[in-house]
Amino acid sequence: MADPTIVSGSAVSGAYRTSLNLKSAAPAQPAEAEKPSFAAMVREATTDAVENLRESDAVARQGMAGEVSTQQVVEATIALESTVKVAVAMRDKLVAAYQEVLRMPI
Amino acid sequence: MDPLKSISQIAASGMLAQSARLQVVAENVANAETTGTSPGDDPYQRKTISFEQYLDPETGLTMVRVGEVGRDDTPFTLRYEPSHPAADEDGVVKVSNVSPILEMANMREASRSYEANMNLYEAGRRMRSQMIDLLK
Repeated sequence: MADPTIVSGSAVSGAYRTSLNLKSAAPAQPAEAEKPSFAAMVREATTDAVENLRESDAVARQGMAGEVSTQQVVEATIALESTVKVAVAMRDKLVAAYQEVLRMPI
Repeated sequence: MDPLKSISQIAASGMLAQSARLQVVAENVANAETTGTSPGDDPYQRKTISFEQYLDPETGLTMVRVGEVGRDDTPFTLRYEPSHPAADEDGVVKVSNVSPILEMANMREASRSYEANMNLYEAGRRMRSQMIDLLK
């Protein structure tokens, strides 16, 4: 009964130590990559949304031409809606955070 | 894969299968009165449809798809109508084995199942959009 607890306890502390090591190693590298990653993130989200928009647009056009079913058009449109929502929400959040940083008194 | 996204895919497969079922019902109802054109010809034979589970290799989701569209082997009804072009020498015409009551029940069930899948789809979509709303 007691054994598993001991094992898991040591495993947890081992994992914790590993995570500590990871944390100490991590900040050294992203110092340079930090700035591009913010812009890249926004860009990626936007590219994703635009790509999805094009896909959905193509499906809608095919639907109008009678090549795909109405259901597929609806599915594509809903998928697009969800992607755009995520992208927009993420952008808003990131821009807000960025502005918060800019407003910081120096 | 995102479970909330896969809900919509699975439900969509269910909706597609039920539409196919409804299509078969429509074919049966439309052809209920279809007989042969020359003496002794067989009339329209009722179509049946079955579903099968389908494991999507890309996503690992278990979906549904149309398995087999077959023909109903129940014997045709015979009707005495000597003036009909498809009547044999005894004046008997073979009429299709479509039973309107059965088709109606089938239609009801297909439309209810479609609705159930639609509700699932809607629930998944709502959950996804609520999750996104957390970001705001």
